[in-house]
Amino acid sequence: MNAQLVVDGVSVGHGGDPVVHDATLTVPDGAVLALVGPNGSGKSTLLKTLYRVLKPLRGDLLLGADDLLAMPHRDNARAVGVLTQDDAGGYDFTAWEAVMLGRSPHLGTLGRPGPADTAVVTDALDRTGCTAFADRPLSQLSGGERQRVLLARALAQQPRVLVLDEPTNHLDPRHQLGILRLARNLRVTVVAALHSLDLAAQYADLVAVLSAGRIVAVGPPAEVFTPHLLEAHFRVDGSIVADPVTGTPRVLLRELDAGRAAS
Amino acid sequence: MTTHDETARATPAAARGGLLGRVPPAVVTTGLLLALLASAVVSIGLGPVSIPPARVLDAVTAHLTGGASGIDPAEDFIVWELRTPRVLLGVVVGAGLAVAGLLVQAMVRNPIGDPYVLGLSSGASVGAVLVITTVGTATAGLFTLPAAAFAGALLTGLGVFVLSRVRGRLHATRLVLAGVAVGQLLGGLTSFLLLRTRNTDAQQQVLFWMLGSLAGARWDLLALSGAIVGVLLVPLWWQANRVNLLVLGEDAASALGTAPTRLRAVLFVLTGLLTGAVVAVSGSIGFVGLVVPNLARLLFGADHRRTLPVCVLLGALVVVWSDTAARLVLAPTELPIGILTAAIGVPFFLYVLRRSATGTVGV
Repeated sequence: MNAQLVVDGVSVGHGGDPVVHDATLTVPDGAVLALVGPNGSGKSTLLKTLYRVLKPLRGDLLLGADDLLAMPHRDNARAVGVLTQDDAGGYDFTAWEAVMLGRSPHLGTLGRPGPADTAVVTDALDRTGCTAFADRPLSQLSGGERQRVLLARALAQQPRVLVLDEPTNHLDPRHQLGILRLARNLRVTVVAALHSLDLAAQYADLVAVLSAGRIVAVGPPAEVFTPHLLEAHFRVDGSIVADPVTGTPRVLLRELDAGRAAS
Repeated sequence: MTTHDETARATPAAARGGLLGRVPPAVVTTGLLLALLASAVVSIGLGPVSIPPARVLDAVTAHLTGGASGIDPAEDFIVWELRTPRVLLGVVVGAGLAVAGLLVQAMVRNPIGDPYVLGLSSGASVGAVLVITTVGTATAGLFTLPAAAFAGALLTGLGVFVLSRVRGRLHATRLVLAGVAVGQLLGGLTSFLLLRTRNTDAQQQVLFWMLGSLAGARWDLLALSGAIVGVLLVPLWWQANRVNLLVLGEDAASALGTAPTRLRAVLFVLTGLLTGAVVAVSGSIGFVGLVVPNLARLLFGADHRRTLPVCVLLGALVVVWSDTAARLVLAPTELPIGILTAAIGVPFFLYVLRRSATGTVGV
C-alpha cells in the first residue's frame, strides 16, 4: 500500500494561535525525513497532528490516498506508529506488556490479544534488542532500554508511517546509530524529529528545517545544510564534509565567532 | 544479540509483571473466588450466635432452592435476614470501592488516588449528613439517606468535572487538584452541619456514617446497590485495555488509538456512579479504594485486564473480613468498619510494599 505522506498547508497551535504556520512537505513512500529545527521551532507540535493529539487549524494530512484527518482515531493508530517522548507513565508494565500495548489499535472490542499479536510483539522485541529484558518492568530499565521498548511498541503497531519524536534521547552512541539504522531498514515511511543535524545528515533521505514555526527548507541533507542556513536559523557556524569512511554527508558545528575566540 | 531460539522461549507468562505475575490468571481468579465463598460462609456463621458453616450452607441452600432446611427458624432468620445480606453487601461495597480506586488511580495517573481524591465521598457525606441532621433518620423514608448520599456524590462529581475541564481537555493533575479542593470544601460543610446540631444521637450517626458501616444491610438496598455495581463492571471490564493506555500518558494514549480526554470523561461518569452506589449504602469506608488496587498491582502487575477482576475479589474479601471484625472485636458493641479497614488493610499493604522487589509503586 502506498505510504507517501503529504503535509499540505498545515497550521497548528495549542490554543487558537498557530505555533506552526502553513507547513507543506511530501515524504515519498519508504523515505526517511528528518525534521530539524532549534528548540521551540514547533517540531513536536507539527508531529502531534499526525497522531491526533492536536488538530490542525488549517490544512490537510494525506497518507497515500487516505485522508488522515477523516479516518477514525483507531485507524489513524494503525496507519501511524509513534515513538512518543518518554512521559514517565506506566512504569509498572513489563517491557513485553508495554510492547503489547502497541497492538491496541488492532485488538477487538474486548481488547484481548491473540497468538498473532504475540508473534508481532516477540518480533518487535527481537528487532530492537529488547528480548533479554522483556520480562522486567520499565521502572527497572535504563533510559536507553526504555527508549528501545518505546520503539518496539511503535513497531508493534505495524504502521505505514513511523513517527519518531526525538528517538535518540537517552541513547548511547551505539544505540543512537542503531535506532536510526533500524528505522531506515524498516522500509516504511519515517518522519523523525532530530536534534542532531549530523545524525540527520547521515541517516535521512530528506531533511525539513523548521524555524520559528515555518518550514524554511526541504531537500536532501547535502543541499539543505549550507553554512548560510546553519547560521541564519540555528545561530551556529557549520561545515558540511563527506565522511572519510562512508562518504555520507556530515555536519560539523562550531559556535559563531569560534575562530575569533580561539585566536 | 539474542537469538530467535531465545525469543521463542520467552513466554508471555514470564513477561507478566507483579510478584505473583507468573500464576495463571484463571488460577488466581478461581482461588480468590473460592476464598471469597469460604469467607462468606464462615463470616455468616460468626457473631453473638455462632452457627457452624455446614448449617449456614444448609440454610442458604434451602432459601436458594426453595426447599426446607430443617434448621431452627431463629437461626434461619439470623442467617438469611440479618447476616447474608450484610456479607453480600460487604462483597458489593468492597468490589465497588476497589474498582473505583483502581480507575481513579489510572485517571489521575497516580497511585495515591482513590474515590476521595475526586471529592466523591465528601459529596456523599454532605448529602447523608444533611438528612441525618435536618430530617432525622427516624422520620425519613428508608431510601432517603442513600438517595441523598448518591445525589451528593454525583453532583460533586459533576462539579469537579466542570472545574477540571480546560479548553475541552480533562487533565490528570487538574482533576486531582479540583477534586481535593472541592473535597476539602465539602468536608468543612459536613463539619459545620455536624457542629450545628445539638442532637447527640445524630452526631453518633454521622460519625458512623463517615467511618462507614454495613449495619444497615437489607435485601432491598443490597439488590439495588448490587445491580448498579454489577451493571457498571461490564463496560469497565471491556475498557480495561484502554485504561492501560490512559496510564501511559496523553500522547501515547492518542498514538495508540484512544482519545484520552473522552476516555477519562467516560471513566469519570462510571466511577462516579460506582462510588455513589456504594457509598450511599455503606458510608464512606476508607482505605479499601487506596490499598486494594495498589496491592493488586504489586502482586499481579500493571495490566488492568488482570488487576480489575483481582480488585473485585480482593476488595470483597477485605471488606467482608473487616466487617466481620467490626462486629466481633467489641461485641456486642459494633465498631465502624473504617477503623478496621485501616487497621487491617494498611499494615498488610505496608508489609507487601516492603517485600516487593522494586519498592516502587506506580500506576
